[in-house]
Amino acid sequence: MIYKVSFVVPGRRDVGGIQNIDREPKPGDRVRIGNQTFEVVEVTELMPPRGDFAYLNATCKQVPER
Amino acid sequence: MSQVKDFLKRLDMFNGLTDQELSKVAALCSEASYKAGDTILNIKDPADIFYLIRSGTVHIITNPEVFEAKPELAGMLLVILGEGQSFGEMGLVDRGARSATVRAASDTDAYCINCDEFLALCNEDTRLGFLVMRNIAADLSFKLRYRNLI
Repeated sequence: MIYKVSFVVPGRRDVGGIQNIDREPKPGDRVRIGNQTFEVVEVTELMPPRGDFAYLNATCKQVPER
Repeated sequence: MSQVKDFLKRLDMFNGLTDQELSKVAALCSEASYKAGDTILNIKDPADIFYLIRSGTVHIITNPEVFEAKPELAGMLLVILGEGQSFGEMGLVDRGARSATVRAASDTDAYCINCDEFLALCNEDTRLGFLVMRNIAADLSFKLRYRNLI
């Protein structure tokens, strides 16, 4: 399965975006978007799966850089 | 060629295509690379090519001059697209001018497909044409749903 995922950071329209990934995102996952790190908070199905593709939205929050 | 086909299999735009059909699409692909900050296409330009992102990230911007002067006006940034996404495909559907400017947000590699050549293939192989157009409709639906969330 290939996961087409939209990453959304509430209040931040300048980060996130859409990409195809091989692994289903889960809450708690850390993702690197641009040069910042975010944590996946919630994953929802945006559209039903079609063929080998799943269509998801991952809501993220920014993780403070160390 | 097989490397291109392997990539195309990972794109929902070509979901459902047979190996033979993917070969026909792969034959139309040419490679392009862009440096971060490069403008890939400009709003109001003729829509003659569509793009498939192999690696990197692009910004789709509705008003590039305002966005550059005031980056905080993120509403000008329609969407950010990464690996496996397509852009410029609206030109395939409506043959209208570009509706947004696209800039490479990072170093980006893409495959380019000429719209006229691809539409000729869709007319010649109507099963392929139907599947791709249905997949493009689903992709545009996905992008609209995403837009509603941000």
